[in-house]
Amino acid sequence: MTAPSTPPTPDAEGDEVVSAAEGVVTTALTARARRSNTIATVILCVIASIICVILIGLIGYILYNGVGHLSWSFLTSIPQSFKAGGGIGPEIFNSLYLLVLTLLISVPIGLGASIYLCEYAPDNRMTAGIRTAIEVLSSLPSIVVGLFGMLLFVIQLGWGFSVISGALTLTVFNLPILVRVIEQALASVPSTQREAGLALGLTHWETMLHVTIPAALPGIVTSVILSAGRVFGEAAALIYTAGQSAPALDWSNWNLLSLSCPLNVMRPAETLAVHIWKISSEGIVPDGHAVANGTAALLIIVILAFNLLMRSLGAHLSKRLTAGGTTGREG
Amino acid sequence: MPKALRRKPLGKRQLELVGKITTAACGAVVILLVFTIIFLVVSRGLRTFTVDGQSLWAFLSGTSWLPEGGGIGALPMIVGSFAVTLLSTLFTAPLAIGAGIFIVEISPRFGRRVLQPVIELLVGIPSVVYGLIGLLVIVPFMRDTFGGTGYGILSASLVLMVMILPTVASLSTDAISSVPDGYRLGAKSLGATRWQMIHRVVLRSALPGILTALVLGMARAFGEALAVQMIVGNSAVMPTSLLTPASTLTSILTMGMGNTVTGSLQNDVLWSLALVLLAMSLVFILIVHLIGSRNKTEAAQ
Amino acid sequence: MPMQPAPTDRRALQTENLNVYYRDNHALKDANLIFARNEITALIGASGCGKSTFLRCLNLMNRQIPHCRIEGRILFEGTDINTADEDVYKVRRHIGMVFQRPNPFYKSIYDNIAFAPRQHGIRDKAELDELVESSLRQAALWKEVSGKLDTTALALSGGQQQRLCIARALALKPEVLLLDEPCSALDPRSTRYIESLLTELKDAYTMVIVTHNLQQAWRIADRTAFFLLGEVVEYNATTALFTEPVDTRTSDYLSGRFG
Repeated sequence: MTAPSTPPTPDAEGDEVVSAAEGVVTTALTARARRSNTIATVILCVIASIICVILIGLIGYILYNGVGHLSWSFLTSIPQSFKAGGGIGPEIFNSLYLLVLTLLISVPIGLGASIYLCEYAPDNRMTAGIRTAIEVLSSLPSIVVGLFGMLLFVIQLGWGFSVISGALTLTVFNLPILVRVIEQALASVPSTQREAGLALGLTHWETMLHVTIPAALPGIVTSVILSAGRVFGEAAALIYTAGQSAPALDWSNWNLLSLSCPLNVMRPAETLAVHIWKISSEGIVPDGHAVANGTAALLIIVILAFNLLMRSLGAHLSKRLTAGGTTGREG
Repeated sequence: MPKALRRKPLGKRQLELVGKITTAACGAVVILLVFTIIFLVVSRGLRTFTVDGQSLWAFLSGTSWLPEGGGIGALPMIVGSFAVTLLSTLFTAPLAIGAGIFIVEISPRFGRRVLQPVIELLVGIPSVVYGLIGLLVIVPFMRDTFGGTGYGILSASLVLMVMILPTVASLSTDAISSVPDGYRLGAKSLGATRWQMIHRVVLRSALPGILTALVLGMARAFGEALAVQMIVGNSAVMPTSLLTPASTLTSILTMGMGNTVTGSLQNDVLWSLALVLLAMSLVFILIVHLIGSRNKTEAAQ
Repeated sequence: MPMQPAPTDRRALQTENLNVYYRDNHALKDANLIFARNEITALIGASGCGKSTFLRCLNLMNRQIPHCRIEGRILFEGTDINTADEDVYKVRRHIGMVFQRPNPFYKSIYDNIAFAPRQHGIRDKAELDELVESSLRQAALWKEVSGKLDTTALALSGGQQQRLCIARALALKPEVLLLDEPCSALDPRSTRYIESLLTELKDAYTMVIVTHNLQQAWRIADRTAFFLLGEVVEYNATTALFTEPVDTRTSDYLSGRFG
């Protein structure tokens, strides 16, 4: 395929069709055109079904093979390194804990940066810099982000494989997508809303905080949940930052410096996604496939739940905002 | 009243300043992050050549890698990375573009209601899960069909194909649906069949957008680590066939980083691999920009 | 420029040699206008003639626009407000604005009005209640919405929304109200309703209204200024301007020969 040198116009091939509209050649031509049209349509429908089959196959396979392994003891007991029967209790907590910490760090920064881009920034160097930075960040392979986290947090700052190293690395991974989608959500609030606030003698800050952000809330919530799903399933950025081991957690231990204290941010914390990778690529545990399948099923269920939550919460919020409205944002 | 206007005017202004500085600081954090990442990876990645005195040429063209021959030749991994990237993009392109055409032109109802949500769900599946399925389904399948171990570039490409499909498909859909309706009406009014209209008019004007989608998909495939590492076989030799174990930059990085000591040559060379990854991801951005700007100048003509 | 200045003691707002540039585009040229207290002044002219630009200078809203330069003096109650260290937030409290399309906040009717006063420091619930009611009464909306103050403002009709926006501006107790084609998005009935409302509000406020509707200017404005290509061509009492325009460009416009 070659790129068109000029934007194609509807009549690019018009002559042929029109002049062929009379004469004998026509029937052959149109018959051929009709036939290729039918063939193309069939192929496209096949492609669409292939994609649906892939998804159903993927999710079906994981759930079919994994759900059977999900039992109360599997979900709560600690993992085994060499023998069968290990659970994923600590991994579940670690995944959630890392997710919460990551969101706590990345949402305020992401929100701030998108507010700056959307509300304050004139087209200056700072804006261009932020935009380029976001683009570079979002294109970085997550393993590179992970290695950066390892170098900076684990080695140079001496925090070791730890929850905090993992959360900060995931923040790097999460920021670009957050800034992009939040900025979109903010920008989709009509500028007349902003003008109304400013004309009442309010600052950009007040207008943003009390007018624009509430109006953009459905979009912001949706994008945060969307990014949460991504963070929850990320592994490459974590194997060298949060580590690949999950010490048993003692829920009665609230000494934040102790290895078994759940909330200790300095302890290593293998997550569900990392567990899947480790178990299935090491191949030491005898029931490795079953454990990996069960963990994957749980991961998929949680991510599907995120997806459903995002859709229903987003719809609910925007409905509440514009309930019965005549000037709804979509309209 | 004028006097009232003049007196203590600063409450709101201070508020504004605080807001501006806070949010600008958030922006600055993002910029600083990028600089730090690039600085760290570049300074580490160059140590192989500056501190350890190895030659860049030996790194880029050598074929013997550390564990085997003690060399620092990264060519097997570079070739492996490009091979899985190109193959998976090749596999995914017809599916993704077809999906875009289907959603926009053939059956918007089914497309928007079923196919698009399906694609969005696929985006959300973590890459380790793709890797796991590759390990449990594709690798045994390959082993049974073609013999050998089942690990290799072809298996990895198939997994990557599924992984980048949603990204490419949704971006292609956007590109195709942004073609103005006037083009379609024009083609139809001239008696073109739907397929003629699609491939002569719609696809041609959506081409830059579709190319961008493919390049972004390639970037994702090139940078994917774990799913590939689980399936490609991780043997750092020059790939001679699509069906024998091979390796990519990311897979060797994933495997090796935990087993080397910071500051050793082995460790430095791994950082050089990371530097290649970083450079390639910048190249992909550059290509996207080139497509964009070329498209803009064409539109202006 | 043919001018009929307002009496000196009744000047609420005045511009002296006001020029506006968007980059190199000279959008407003040497506007010298005086707005008298408790009068409605209409700004008429074709699209792009600078009348909206002019209006948005009066409460310094144009300062939001990048690359927009405002030169000249804007005298509010005798003081120049077009200075670098002027407190725009205070200016905008005293000079309110109503926009072309009704733009109520995505909040309840009550909060739409109470929000800005609250931000400006009124925290007392009783005081806010009182303010909300009086503003809604002034905007002739109280009867329609008094029972549903907690419901979203977006459920109101277009005309009601615009009156809510007027009430929202009045809640800050401004001296001047700027209206930028407030009826252009409304049906004729709502338009007439708002016009009669504005005429009633005249006793308490100074109003400047941009309008495309010549009949509207004729019906409600005490004075009218005609803008053409960034210049004020003629400014006079409405009756005089419409019946005996001095400048031929004015009479051409009024008789529909351009714009």
